[in-house]
Amino acid sequence: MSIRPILPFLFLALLCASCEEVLEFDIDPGDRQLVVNALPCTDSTLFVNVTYSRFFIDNQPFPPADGATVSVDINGVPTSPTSHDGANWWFPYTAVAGDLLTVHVGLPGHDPVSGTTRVPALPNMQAPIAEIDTLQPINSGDILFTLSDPADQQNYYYIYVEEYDSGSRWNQWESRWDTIDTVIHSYFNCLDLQVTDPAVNSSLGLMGYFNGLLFTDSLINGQAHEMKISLMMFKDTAENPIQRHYTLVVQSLSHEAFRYIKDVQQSQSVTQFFAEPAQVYSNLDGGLGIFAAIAIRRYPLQFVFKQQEDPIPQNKNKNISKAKP
Amino acid sequence: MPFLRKRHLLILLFLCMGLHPLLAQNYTISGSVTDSASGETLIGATIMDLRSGKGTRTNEQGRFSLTLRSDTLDLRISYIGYKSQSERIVLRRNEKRNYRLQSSVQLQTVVVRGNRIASAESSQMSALEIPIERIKSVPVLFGEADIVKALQLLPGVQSGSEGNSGFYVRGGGPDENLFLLDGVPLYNVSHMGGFFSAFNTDAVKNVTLYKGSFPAHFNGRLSSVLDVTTNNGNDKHLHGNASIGFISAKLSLEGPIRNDRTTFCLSARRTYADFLLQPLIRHLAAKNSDSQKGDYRLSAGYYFYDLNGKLTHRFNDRSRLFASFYLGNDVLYSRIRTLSTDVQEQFLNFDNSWGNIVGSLRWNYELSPRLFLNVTGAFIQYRNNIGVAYETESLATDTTGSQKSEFNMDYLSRISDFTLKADFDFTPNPNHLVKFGSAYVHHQFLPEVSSAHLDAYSSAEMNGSFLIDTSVNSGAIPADELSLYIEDDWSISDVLKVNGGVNLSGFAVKGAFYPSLQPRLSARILLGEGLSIKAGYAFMTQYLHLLSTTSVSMPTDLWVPVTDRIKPMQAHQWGGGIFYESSIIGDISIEGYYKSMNNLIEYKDGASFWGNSESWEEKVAMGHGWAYGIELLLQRNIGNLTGWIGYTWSKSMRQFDLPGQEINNGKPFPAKYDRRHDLSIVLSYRFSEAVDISATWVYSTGNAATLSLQEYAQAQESANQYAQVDPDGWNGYISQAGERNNFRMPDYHRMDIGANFHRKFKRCSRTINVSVYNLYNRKNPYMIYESHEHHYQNYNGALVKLSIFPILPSVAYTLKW
Repeated sequence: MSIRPILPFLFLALLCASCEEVLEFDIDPGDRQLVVNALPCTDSTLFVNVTYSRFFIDNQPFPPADGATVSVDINGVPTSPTSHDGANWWFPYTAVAGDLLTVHVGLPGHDPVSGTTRVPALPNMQAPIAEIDTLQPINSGDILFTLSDPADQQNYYYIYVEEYDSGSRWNQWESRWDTIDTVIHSYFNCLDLQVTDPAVNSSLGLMGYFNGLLFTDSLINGQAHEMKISLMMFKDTAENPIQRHYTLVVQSLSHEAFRYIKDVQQSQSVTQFFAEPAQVYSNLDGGLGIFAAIAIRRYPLQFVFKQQEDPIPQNKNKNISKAKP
Repeated sequence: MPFLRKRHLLILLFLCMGLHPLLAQNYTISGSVTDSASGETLIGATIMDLRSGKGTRTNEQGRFSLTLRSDTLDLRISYIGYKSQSERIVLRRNEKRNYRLQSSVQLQTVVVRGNRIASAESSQMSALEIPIERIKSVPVLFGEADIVKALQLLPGVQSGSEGNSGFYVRGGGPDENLFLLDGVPLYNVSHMGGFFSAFNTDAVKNVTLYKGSFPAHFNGRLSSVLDVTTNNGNDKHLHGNASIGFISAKLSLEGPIRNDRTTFCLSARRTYADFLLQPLIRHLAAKNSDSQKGDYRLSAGYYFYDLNGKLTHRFNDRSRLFASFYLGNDVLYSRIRTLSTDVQEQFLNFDNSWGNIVGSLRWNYELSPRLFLNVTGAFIQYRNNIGVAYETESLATDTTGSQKSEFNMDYLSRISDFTLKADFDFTPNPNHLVKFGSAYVHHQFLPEVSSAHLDAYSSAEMNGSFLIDTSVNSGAIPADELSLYIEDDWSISDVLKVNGGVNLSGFAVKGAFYPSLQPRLSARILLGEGLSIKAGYAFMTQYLHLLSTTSVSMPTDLWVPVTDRIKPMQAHQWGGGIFYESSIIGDISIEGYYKSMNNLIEYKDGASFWGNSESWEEKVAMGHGWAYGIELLLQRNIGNLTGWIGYTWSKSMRQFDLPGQEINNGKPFPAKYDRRHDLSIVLSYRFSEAVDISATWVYSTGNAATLSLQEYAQAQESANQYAQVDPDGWNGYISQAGERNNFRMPDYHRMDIGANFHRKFKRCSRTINVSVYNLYNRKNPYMIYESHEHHYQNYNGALVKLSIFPILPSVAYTLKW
């Protein structure tokens, strides 16, 4: 038998021979810390999630902090929760721009935890126009809107396009139809955000971000600009009749929310594998987590065809991506 | 002003040294020392007058100059591994002598010259010289002899991760080492992600590493200087050397051109794993074609190659010209073509190549018997190219007709240097060796240029094409660097010898200018025959930073200059030691050092530079560090048993506490490669002329790593989302970063062995090298990570150690003629 045929395999085996082994170590797991998470939003009822942290190799769900007392001061007025469900404490309150909120959490054996945030103003913008061009191999869409940034204050924005898929898709590995009912949070479809005003001539440094477009108003402070988000969307086929619905979500963030989301995105990015672990921002005294307000506008998108790029009008209706409010 | 007084003193000193020989009626013997068989210059050969006890050594060009009083001299020219020559000269005028030493056949294979530059006699400390023969005999990974990996076995030099050719000297970082190839700096000296260095041992003649007490003619890096000299080429006969090893094949040729005035030396090395793996790749492609019921073609591979060339022309005994080049390249590629059954054709091509190009022209000229000039002009370029091309074409004939789209992405990172420098060696008398000179470097940094092109159209309506053509250019950054230096190696008495000097440099970039005056001083006190104590101080400045977030050398690592915000790195290093040379037990040295470093940069928590140099200044923090340690070296260079034992005890710390730039909450933390203990034992034993064996054993404290000890839930906008949190998922939880480098990996240790079997034939000789890396299959940690697929004690997760190199045997065959 000639050795030549097995040489590549021998080489590859030696080159790639690796070994994984559980590493024994002696580290004190330390005390579990109290974790308080709440993102008061202008479009939903406030709830506060209170759990414990866990040791880093403990692959268990985060245990709820049973017995915790939770209250929220709204403009200095204490408010108690109306209900308690597992780790969530529900409050009869929906965030209003300008409100000052403070959360207090107490639990015997732990230091009291508190944090403060102010609800930002809603994004000052008009309803967007969404256009689509279906003649290309991949549908390309543009979302146009004008954002007016309030002056004399630092504003923070987080914009993404949420995709809701429903229908059925052929699973070629399992040879069956799968039912699809999924919300895709801006993944894979958002190309860039551009200020269309030639005087500004900026993409805000946000090209190619898949985790949404997180930015400050440093380039547009106090000004109104038309902006454009370019999208790439999958083309539906007869084999995979999935209904895709898109929603533009524009958030105005408190400073705390901006720092938190930025750090979380950084810590979860692909490049983080090579970086030192990130310290995620927390504005809570005595514990971990975040208490940060967000003002949200949501715009279900109804795409229209670009007139100048529509040479075959009879095909229009067939290719419209139907959006639902 | 103190500075002016110092400068005046130096000029006065220089003039006095120049006048001194005129007053004393001295004459000068000058010339060169070469190998009698090859004509190769010998660096560091000793020329000694036995009567007066005065002597000198040949410089980097193999030249010497010895000025003595008019008298009868008994000269002895010696070089370990060569038969000494003696000559009696009646010195009544300036004399020219070119000595050719004959290699001692018996000694050549068993005796290697030791650290002559840092011998007990020399004023230089913290310098080590390893002969290339010894480097070739050290058993290493895949049997591929490697200069850098051999140096990692020396005290004070630490390797990075397993199998990596990066090194860390006395608590410094991997970017703080100056790699000189024939006096020209290289930027990236790694192949294959750092598993091999860029130096082809077949092309190399001499290797010297400076870890401290840097002579004034070196500048630009904080922690070390690796000075590599390549072969000039045999001036007698055509010789060759061909070898094939586990991963690469090498070929070297050298010889005269027409006459002995012009010689050449060419060396080439290339890996061939890409050839070997082609059958496997084709097999995988064929398998894929079957499963996809289409035509799937795949071509992929990786290789690297080096080309070293040198042309030497001797105009006369006083003048020589050297033209040399180095070309090193790593290439990673893949070509995928898919033809699916619905007549859709797709192409996906990926190409990544990176490497150095170096071209230099050097002219040596003896201006006078006591003054020697070396002028160098060089061009150095390091570049990294990445290209991705995706093309899809559908021939379907529905209403939209055929469709085609193309996507191309290109990435380029480059740094180019144009260097011009002049170095003078002046030997006014045997008590002084003065070096002075200047260098100018024009840097052209192009950290990153990215371009993307997307073009899609349908044949039905070509005017409906969709086109994106964009380019992101970080912009070229020009910078200029000028340096002047003067140093004197001064034998004040038979007991006391001092090497003092100063390097004055300046760096201009984007309107900012950074001057730096760097004093250097080292002294030796001879306590007895072969016994001396030494002390030294060096101040170094570095104007370049390497942006990298990985512990291995990646082509995406970016060199960037200092800016108006990021200041040059600086280091003060103090050292002292005792040196003893014994003809019976070998050489022993014990050195201690303390190094303080300022303006170090470190990535802020969570920051990384994965192909993004934009606003890199915002992602780094500036801080300081300090390192100290003790190094012990015992080496034996005579007899059948040779080798060394090196041990280092050291500590290296960092602190980043500037407001707004705190790392680790401003508290001190261990540097990434802080190691308390580092031990290397390297032994070779020669059984006969036909067989010799060698073995190495290394032990070191485990690397530091940062573990996030606590995890907690990520905030969600909707309460329903908490129910969806998957503990194994990527988005459900946050790791709370602990203190920087708060964990130690297990200790590292490994044994390698190798044996050489030599045989001589009528016109050639061959050597078969058999070596085994990691003989007892120690599973050393390459990296650690958290895994939820493993269990540990009562936990459902575990910390997992990944080891990459088990026991690895290899064979290499070398033929010399």
